Amino acid sequence: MTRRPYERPIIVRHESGLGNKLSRVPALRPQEEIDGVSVEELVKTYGSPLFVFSEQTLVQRQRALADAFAVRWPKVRTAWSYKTNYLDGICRVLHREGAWAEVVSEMELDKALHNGVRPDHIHFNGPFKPESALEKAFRGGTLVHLDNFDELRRAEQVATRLGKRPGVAIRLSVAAEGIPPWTRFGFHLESGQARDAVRRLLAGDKLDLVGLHCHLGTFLLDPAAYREAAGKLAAFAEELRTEHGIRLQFIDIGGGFASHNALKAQYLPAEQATPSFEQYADAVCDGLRALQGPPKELPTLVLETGRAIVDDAGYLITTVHATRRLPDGRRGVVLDAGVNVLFTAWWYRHDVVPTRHLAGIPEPTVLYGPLCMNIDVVRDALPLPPVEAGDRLVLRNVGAYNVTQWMQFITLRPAVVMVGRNGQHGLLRKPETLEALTSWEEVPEWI
Amino acid sequence: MDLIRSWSQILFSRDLVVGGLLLVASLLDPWVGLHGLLAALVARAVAAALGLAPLVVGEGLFGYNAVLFGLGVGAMLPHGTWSEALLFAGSALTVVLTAALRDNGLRTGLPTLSAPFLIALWLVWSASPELVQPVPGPDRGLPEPVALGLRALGALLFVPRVEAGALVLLALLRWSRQGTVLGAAGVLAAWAVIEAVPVPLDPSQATLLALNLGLVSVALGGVWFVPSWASLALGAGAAGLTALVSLGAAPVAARLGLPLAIAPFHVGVWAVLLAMRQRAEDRSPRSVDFLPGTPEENLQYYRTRLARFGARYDVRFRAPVRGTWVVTQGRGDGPTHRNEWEHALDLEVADADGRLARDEGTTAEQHLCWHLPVVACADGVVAKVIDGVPDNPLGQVDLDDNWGNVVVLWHAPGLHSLVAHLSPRTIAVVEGQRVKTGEVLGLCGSSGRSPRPHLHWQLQATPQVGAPTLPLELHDVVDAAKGEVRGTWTPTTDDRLRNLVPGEVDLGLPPGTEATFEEDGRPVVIRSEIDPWGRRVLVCGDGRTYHGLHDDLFVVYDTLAPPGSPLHVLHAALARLPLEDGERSPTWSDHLPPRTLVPPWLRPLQDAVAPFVPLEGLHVRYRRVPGDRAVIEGRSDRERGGVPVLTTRAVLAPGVGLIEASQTLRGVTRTLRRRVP
Ligand SMILES: Cc1ncc(COP(=O)(O)O)c(C=O)c1O
Repeated sequence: MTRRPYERPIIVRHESGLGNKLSRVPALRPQEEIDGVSVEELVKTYGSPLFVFSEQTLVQRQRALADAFAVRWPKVRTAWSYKTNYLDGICRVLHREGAWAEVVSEMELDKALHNGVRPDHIHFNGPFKPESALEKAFRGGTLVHLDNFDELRRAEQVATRLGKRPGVAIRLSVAAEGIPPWTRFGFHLESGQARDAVRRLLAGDKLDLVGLHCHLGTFLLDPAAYREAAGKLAAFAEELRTEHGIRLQFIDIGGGFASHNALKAQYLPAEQATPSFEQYADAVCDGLRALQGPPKELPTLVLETGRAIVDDAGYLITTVHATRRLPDGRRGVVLDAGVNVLFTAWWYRHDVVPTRHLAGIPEPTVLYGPLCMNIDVVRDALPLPPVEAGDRLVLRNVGAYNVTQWMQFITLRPAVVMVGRNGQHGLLRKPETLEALTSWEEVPEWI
Repeated sequence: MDLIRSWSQILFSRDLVVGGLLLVASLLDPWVGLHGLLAALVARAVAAALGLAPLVVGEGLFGYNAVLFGLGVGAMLPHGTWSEALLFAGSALTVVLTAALRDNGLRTGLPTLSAPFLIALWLVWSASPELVQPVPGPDRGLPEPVALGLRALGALLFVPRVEAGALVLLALLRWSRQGTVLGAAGVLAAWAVIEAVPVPLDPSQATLLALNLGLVSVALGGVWFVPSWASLALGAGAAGLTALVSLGAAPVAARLGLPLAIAPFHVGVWAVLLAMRQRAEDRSPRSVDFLPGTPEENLQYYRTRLARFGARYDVRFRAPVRGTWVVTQGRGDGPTHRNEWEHALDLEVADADGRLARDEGTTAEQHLCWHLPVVACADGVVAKVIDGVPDNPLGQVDLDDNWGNVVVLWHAPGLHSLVAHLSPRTIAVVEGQRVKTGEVLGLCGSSGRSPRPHLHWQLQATPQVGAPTLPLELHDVVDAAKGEVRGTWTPTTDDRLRNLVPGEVDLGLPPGTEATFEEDGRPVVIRSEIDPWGRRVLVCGDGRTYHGLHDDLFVVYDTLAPPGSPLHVLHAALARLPLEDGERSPTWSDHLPPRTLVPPWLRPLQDAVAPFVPLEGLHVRYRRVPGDRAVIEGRSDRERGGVPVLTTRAVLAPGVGLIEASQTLRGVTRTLRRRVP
């Protein structure tokens, strides 16, 4: 006779009216391995906490995106949004799949070049492009997306100095229903500012207008916003063609597609709320239908999709350090990873699964990080059966923005690894060390 | 120099040696020859005064009728000022008539031949009081048929002597060995006729008969039909017909007082060409539906085209969709692609796991091909549109409107394409509208006999909906499963296909420019031009490489150049070039003509036997090496001692274009490098 494992007794408050046809029993199926490599083996090799990326998922998402658009528009290009995740290994997988680069700073530009991207295969966005950055961009043929009138003037000066006539795009800020407008970037379309910018650019006669860019926002759950924005871009492109004889090489619709994550305020789970790439592609290409003609004459459609590609490919393995009972009856769990490395915990309700079957009834649980700071909450009100110190938890869909926006605060940042397609795994980034940290520090001699 | 081409063109040639030989032959009767020369000069001046296209003038295309006319005047009109005046007026008239008929010829596809010469000759004949018939020269002891043939060749230039004929024979041999054989067959036919007719023909009649029959045999046996046993037979048959025309029309012409000259040849060629167009299928012999060259060129071009492009249609078909689709019902497959409708394709979209729908796939909207754009598979005109048939719920079919919403495009006479089951009110074109390859026609739906969303695509002869299908071919489309561009392809069920995506790859040789390359330190200048017939051509010295440039593909059609020409290297390295960017670019293969492989001294022999013994060309596989510069490597399947007979390499740099082309043929490497300023 086998002994049943001990189950800690708990008291759970009965809440009526919780279930309706949309709610689901949280599927806490344990995740023992990632692409065939066991979580335990990864932790043994690289330690905990640990970011793990699946090469297979990364490639699948990239191809699914490209395929969804390729059946709808004759020429499509993806440009990898560096800020979303600029670890060299991640970028190179995507470049190998044919993605160009989208950068928003001189540092990112350098990083893309360091990754072997052709300078003229880089789109350069952002509100801050100092002269040195513009100069570097124009020398190599990088496609600069102009953000404001001062930048336009600066770009003209740099181009004149270099004796070049670069092709540039202008960034437009476009209003779309249900989307908080990102009016601080680019030239406003509706107010007529964009037209002024085009006239100004043509009058200056130093740059060629070859593209339009528009990034609506991020994690946009409604594809209709893209239909509206793409429609406005198409109409503007037609206007440029008929009024100024400009044939654009590309229309860049930015990023912003939602990943399989759930926002904190979101009611539906990600599987139901997140539109498919097909639905986004349908909206975008339907919006562009005013542009007609044989493929060669149509502008290339550029996508700067970030999180929707890489989020699903990223995992964070953490270890339970301690558990406690909170005065309000909820259970508290202290993990070895907090908001210092999981920046996206601020706005996502991350998906959390154990690595073994957890017996017992789920009870409302708060996941805390290791920081001695009240704000360090990774997840609140997660229904979770009791866990023990030493248990592993896997946070899923954490591939976007975390390994770029994380901070070195109180603890050192952990290792990042990639699992390859046939059970290989290797480091994308070494765990930080004190020497690495202190090597940048100086102590003035009078101290 | 260009003036000489007016003589070359008499034998459909642009070769200066051919023209020179003919000029010398005509000068054997100096008076006659000088009149030919004079007429050519008059024609040149008139063409210049009229402002006719210099390129066409330079080819001698406005001059050969004048030369023939001048020779005729020199030979037959009495010496005197009136004759000279007629020479000037008549030569000018031939130029005007040639220009006028050229337009007609380009539209109808019927060759002008020497009709302007005949018209001018007849007019002048009637305006002239007394005439001399050129008297055939002596045999010089040659056997009867040989003497007949040589005199006939001389008679082409109104110098019916065996000496002149011998020079024309040399020119003919230089122009084409196969043509010479065909001409000899025509002369033999004439000899047989002469022997057989009960009333003996006078010598000048006999000579003229041989000339007409010889010309018909060459023209039909090798110029307007691809040389083969069948074309030889056709030439011989047409010669018989022409003999009847010659003999039958002679008394009528005599009563009218007009010389028949080479009129029977014209009647024979035109009648047979028109008649052969009524055939159900263009085979045995196969007509030359490209611009005719020498019989050898026609044969080589046709064979290579057959191997490279498939020979069914002159229209190139792309997939009627964007992105990658899968064939879910191919030729002769499933319940509907049967009998008259066997050559059709049903297309759908599958995801990476092969599923045709997302989520549960319980609605039409969840099918991946739902509402995807359907595009024109080739340039054309919208011949028919049906709209307004509703989409079916999943699993149901509408047997009243079998085809659902339809767009039919006209591409060429007797060649239409049809796309069916489109979604209602998504059709973006109207009847009569011109469309270009890749333009959106409508959105994929599920109207008509369609239980789930899919696209039905077929070729057909007429614009009627429900017409029987024609064999379907795709051209230069990617076989997505193999990652290979297929020159000519009829996909079958489960094949995945996509069009090439036009990219940035560029040869950097736009028409009207030239580029300097270097071979072994010697400069090689290659000019890019559009020739008088509107074809794109790369010119290097005497050689020409005809090619096409589509949005998604560069393709060499043929290279006509001396054996050592650098253009052969270019042809081998860049026979085809998909203009697609990207790291995952497909591979492709091509066929190089057999001439490449035959040493120059063996070529005349090869020419003579080629119509009857097909020689295989060289199959070469190409791939693009990943990297910033487009590096294209080719290697032949055929090997010798474990080494490919031919390897090639081409390098294209962004913003510059082609910077290097090389070939290694049987261990001998030739490299062209662009001189970049
Ligand atoms: C200009 C631009 N492009 C692309 C992106 C990537 O967006 P996402 O990760 O939401 O797809 C961003 C993110 O903010 C952006 O600012």
